Amino acid sequence: FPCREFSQMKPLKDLFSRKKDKPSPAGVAASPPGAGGAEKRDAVMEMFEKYREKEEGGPEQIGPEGIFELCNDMKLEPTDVRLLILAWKLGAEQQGYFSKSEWQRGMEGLRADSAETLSARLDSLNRQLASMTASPSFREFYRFSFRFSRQDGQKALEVDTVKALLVTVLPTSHRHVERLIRFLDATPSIRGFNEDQWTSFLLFSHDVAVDFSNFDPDGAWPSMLDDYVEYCKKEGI
Amino acid sequence: AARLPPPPPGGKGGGGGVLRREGKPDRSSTELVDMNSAADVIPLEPGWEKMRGGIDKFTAIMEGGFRESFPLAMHSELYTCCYVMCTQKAPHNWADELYKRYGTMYEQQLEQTVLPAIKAKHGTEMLREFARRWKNHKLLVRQMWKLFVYLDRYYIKKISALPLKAVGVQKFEQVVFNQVKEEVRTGVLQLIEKEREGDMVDRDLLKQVVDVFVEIGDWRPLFPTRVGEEIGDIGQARLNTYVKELETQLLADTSAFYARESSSWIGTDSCPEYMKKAENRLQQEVALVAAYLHSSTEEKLLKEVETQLLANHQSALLDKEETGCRALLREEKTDDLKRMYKLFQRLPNSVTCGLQPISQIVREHIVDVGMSHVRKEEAEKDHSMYAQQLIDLHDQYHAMVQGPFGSNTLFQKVLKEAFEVFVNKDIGQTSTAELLSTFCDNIMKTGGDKFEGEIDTVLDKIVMLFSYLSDKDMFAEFYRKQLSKRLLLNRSASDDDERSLITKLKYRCGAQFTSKLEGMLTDMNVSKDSQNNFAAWMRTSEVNLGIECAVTVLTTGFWPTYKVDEVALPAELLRGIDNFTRYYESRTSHRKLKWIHTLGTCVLTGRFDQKPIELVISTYQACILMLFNQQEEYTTADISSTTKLPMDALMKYMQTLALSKYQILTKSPKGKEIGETDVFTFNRAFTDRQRKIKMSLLVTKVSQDEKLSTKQTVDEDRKHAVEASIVRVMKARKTMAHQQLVLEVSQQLMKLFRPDPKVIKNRIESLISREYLERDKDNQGVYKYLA
Repeated sequence: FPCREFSQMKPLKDLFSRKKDKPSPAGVAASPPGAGGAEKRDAVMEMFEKYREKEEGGPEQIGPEGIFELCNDMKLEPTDVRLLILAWKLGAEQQGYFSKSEWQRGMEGLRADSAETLSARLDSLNRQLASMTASPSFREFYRFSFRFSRQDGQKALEVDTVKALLVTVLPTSHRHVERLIRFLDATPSIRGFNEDQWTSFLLFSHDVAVDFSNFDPDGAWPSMLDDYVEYCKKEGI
Repeated sequence: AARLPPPPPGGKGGGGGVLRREGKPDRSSTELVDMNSAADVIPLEPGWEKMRGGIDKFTAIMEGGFRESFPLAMHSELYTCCYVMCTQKAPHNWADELYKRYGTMYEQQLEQTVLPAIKAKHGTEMLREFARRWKNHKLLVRQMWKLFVYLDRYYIKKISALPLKAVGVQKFEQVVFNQVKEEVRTGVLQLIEKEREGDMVDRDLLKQVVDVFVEIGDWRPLFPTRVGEEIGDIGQARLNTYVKELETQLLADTSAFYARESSSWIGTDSCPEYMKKAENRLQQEVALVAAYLHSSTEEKLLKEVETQLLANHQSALLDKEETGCRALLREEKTDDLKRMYKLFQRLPNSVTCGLQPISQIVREHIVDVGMSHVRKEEAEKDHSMYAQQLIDLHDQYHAMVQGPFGSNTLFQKVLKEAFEVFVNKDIGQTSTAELLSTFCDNIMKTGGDKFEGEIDTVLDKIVMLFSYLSDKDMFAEFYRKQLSKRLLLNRSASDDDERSLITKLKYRCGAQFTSKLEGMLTDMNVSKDSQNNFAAWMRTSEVNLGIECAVTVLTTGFWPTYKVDEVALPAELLRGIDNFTRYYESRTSHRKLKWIHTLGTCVLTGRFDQKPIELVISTYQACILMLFNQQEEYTTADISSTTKLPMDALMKYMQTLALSKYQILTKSPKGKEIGETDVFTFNRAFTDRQRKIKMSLLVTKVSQDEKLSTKQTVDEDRKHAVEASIVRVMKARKTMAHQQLVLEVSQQLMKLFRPDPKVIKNRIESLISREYLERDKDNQGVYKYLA
């Protein structure tokens, strides 16, 4: 399965380069005292200071430029899935921004305090997730990625974003993904996915055999997936 | 009960009553023998010889043909003798011996005389001898019993031995019966077979012989030997010999006989012929049993016959090409079908046997006939006869179910299933639901088909067909549209008939189904009242419109929606509308009136040169014609801009006014096409024989547009109904698996239409995205209700 061009990953890239007018919802939180050496915390906060938005009187958060810089330091493309994993672990609420408290809590949870350690952690997490796509933590990550990628107030995710997201989040060899994308390309009437369809697909990809031998057409799969199966059978793929 | 013979007359006189053994009081007269004097003791052998004398005497009488009767003196003497011998004190009590010798007496007599006599004969003669000897034996036993009866009363109970009569029968069985039973049986069965083959046989003889088999079991104990054993079992046990020695073989023979018979018939006979033969045979066998077999045999015997003649050949018989069940149905041979029903009703019911396979053939037949009607109809252009055809078809097969098939529920069910198959097939683009509705329209409207007072019966039949529809809501929608036109254009022939049909539908489907239809009728009635009130109101308000204006107020929701073309109304009409609106607002509040001119009617008087003619036209046509009061000529474009009617609608109206049957306007240039610059003139020269002409646009025939819009309305309504049902079910159950939910929803909606599982799934997903439902976290196939 050929690697997708990064240029086609535009939507994901956009996520992190969009400038928002709305102020960051996360407020300034006092550094919680507690476990973890003061040293570590300091290192974490140092990182925060390095990447944060430099505006005077602005909200205390890392913005898109900071993230871009961080990516460079970690030698990651901004479209890399590991960035999404980072957002997940930080519990980021808004695309393109990490608030101070998110950063602090998240980095401590990750036990990383520098770009190198962070990079290593993200690597190992990525490998872990990729190897156990049926696990509850992967499911959580998968769901997060949908919600995180949504526009404000929207219930559904645009089909192009869906396609890109699928490819990012799921390992390249994951069953059904390639064919689903072909199906979506062939069915312009499908404009987007709602959350139900997104989550169902993960389950579907694990439960249903590649040759659809155990697919139950009277089952509770969303009708879009029924159509997908029909399409594959018709096309003989 | 044993009758105690009177004591011998002139016996030895004696004193008063002597106590019997066991202390029972004496019942006979007082003259008795004193038992205890030694001189009167009867010794065994002489006593026995005496008894023997009696036996021989009777035997001789028997052999002599009963020309004399047993002497009474001997009778009482022997009775007394026995009595004495049994009541003597030991060692002179001879009861044991007497009993034993009683038995052996029979043995001897049977062995020496009876058995040889029977064995000496053969065939029918032997049977005769056998019967005769048994008859005689019974008499002998009876007579002996009379003599030895004392033993019966007091001796056998003491030692629990067989009663005397039983002994007699038992001895016959052991000595005679068991030796000759084979030959007798063979003889009997041969005779029966002869009778079956058509020869005359001596039925009396057969009865006598068979009775022997029955009675021979009579020596079985008369009283229950085990606690709780019922007399019924005794009866059954007593027939054991009959069953074992005769009946079993008889049944086997019968089976074989009819197996042969039926094989010889099945190849050559037609189905009706075969059935007649079978029927005859069954009747014969019943007569046979009645004539000379035991009644308990009837059921078993008939079962054998039925199995051989009917069950074993059922499919071969029914499937016969020219004459089998299907052919009989095709040719409506009701007598044969009736016979078939009666015969096969006897068989135990199963998928391959009895009435069920027949009912399936009937079902297939009806479906075939129905489908051929459907296909034929599809080739037709005009479908107005189809509903009547269906009614006739239903009448025909309903009569068949009531008649030959005895209103059997199996066949009623099959009729329903068959009709449900083809009634739900569309005729090309048109659904049967629509055709039924149109048929009703024809009945209900003025000038429609007349049924001469049988309207109610016809309506019942329509409702019957309606009940077979799976898309009942489709029918309702078409009906609603057509009802609306009938009511608003005043074309309904009878309000009672309308109500009658609606009531019948309500009875079938519930009040909710017919609520809109009823609402429409109510609206009409209310409008009539309000019309009177409006007139009164106008008088009190001293308003004079100069025209008559009648308004019908429709409740939105009950009535179909109509497209309203924008139109500029003439002043007179506007005044009427204004006034009514004021009147209405004075009566009710919070209601808004929306005027639907599509269905309005106007009566204009056209002042033509020859004579004035009243024109009954639609409101739109009236608007156009009224223009010609101002000016003589107009171009199409003018008319359009003045009346504000859209061009395509206007074209239609101009067509009817200028280019069809009644040409109120003339067009120039002439020709069928209407151009925007064509000029229309009031046709002064127009005239007609009639004084009043109807020119209304609205047709009650269902147009292609209407078909489409009906389908859309129905689809929309169904989506809502499915959603409502899903929510109802989930609210009650809180959580449910997908398949179950689909099933329950389908069942709930069955009465109206058959929901498509895809639609249900679609609605479920919609409800999920609107957060009425959610999927269970652990089980993707289970839904939970979100309050």
